[in-house]
Amino acid sequence: MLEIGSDIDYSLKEHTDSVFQLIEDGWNTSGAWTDHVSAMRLVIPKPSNNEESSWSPLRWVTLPGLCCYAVGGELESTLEISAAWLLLYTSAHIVDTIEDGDYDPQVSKLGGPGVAINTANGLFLSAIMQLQSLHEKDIPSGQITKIISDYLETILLMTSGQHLDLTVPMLDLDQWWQIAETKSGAFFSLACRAGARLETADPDKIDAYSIFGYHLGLLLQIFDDLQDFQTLLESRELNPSLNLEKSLASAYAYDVLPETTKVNFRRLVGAGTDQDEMVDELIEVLDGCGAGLYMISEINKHQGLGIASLEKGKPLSPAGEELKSILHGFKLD
Amino acid sequence: MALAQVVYQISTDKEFASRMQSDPQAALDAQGWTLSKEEIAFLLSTLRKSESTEIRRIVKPLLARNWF
Repeated sequence: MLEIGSDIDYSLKEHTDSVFQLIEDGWNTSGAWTDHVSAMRLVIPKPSNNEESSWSPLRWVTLPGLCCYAVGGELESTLEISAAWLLLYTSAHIVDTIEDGDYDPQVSKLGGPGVAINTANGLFLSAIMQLQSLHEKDIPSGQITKIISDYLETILLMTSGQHLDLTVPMLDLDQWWQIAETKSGAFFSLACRAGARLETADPDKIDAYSIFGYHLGLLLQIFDDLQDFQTLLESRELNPSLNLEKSLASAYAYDVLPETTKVNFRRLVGAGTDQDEMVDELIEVLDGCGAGLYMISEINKHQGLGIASLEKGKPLSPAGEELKSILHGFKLD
Repeated sequence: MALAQVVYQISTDKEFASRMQSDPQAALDAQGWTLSKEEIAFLLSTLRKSESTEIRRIVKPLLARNWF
């Protein structure tokens, strides 16, 4: 049994390696053709032994394990659900990239949207196979049914959020939160809830980790938006691919600004220009209406609520402390 | 949405911002706005802790991150 001991990073690295091995094993016994497996492997590269990967899913693939461990379970028992979550994360990422017209170097290596969509389908079905393989383990079938239903319902919810995202040209604040909750919030909540559910049937404990994951997902979405502004300030170019119209800052400004200023704001945010003065003017409008203060307040709020959910009731285990430290990492100062 | 309204008012009305620091409940009541206790606490702690909330400043620390 893999313990989370004094060297927690080592334990989690071992766990991550085991998740990747399980994905490989699943592909090798699936009957999928070599070329298709190679395409799937291309977007889920094995973690390197020598360097810490910056590829974000690697950072999050341990979430189900940490949550399971935090409620008294074992990291190993979450291998299948962690593998399924990672496969779905990557599948959704590919589909999002194509639907949003974004550029991702890994996705573009696949050789076009057709192959990318087919690869995403392969990853999605690989995830379902990982979940089905829970039936081969000593887990009550009712519990497995709940876990698989939870995965499928969450994915359906995420596609609803994506539908709204794709069909509305500029988001108001309610719509921004609705999309963030149904996509990132729901998906990270699933990772944590599924991990806890493997070990306990206590609804309060499952809820606590589910809520933690929800706030983590929202924080990631806020930081993702902030990164677009960082790119804007570095490039000094109002590039349409930054999708600033759909950022939290823009949704906030669009909701609170008076009508007269709103017209100018819309002109700026959708300008698609590299004129320095327009970038400065946009940032000035956002600063003037308090967009930065609003985002920091929301970051503090979701950080605080996520930690409160973890701490509900009792002192934290080492795994709980590790989860808490993830939220503490979302600081801007 | 309520939090957004309050933040906008703080950013554009110095008198309201000052009242929010000294007596947040009275400041909100005067406007007919409601925030949860948690929201008030998080907002006040943000106001106290943050030296600057300009977008240029808050995206700078992101340079060290690779979480996405």
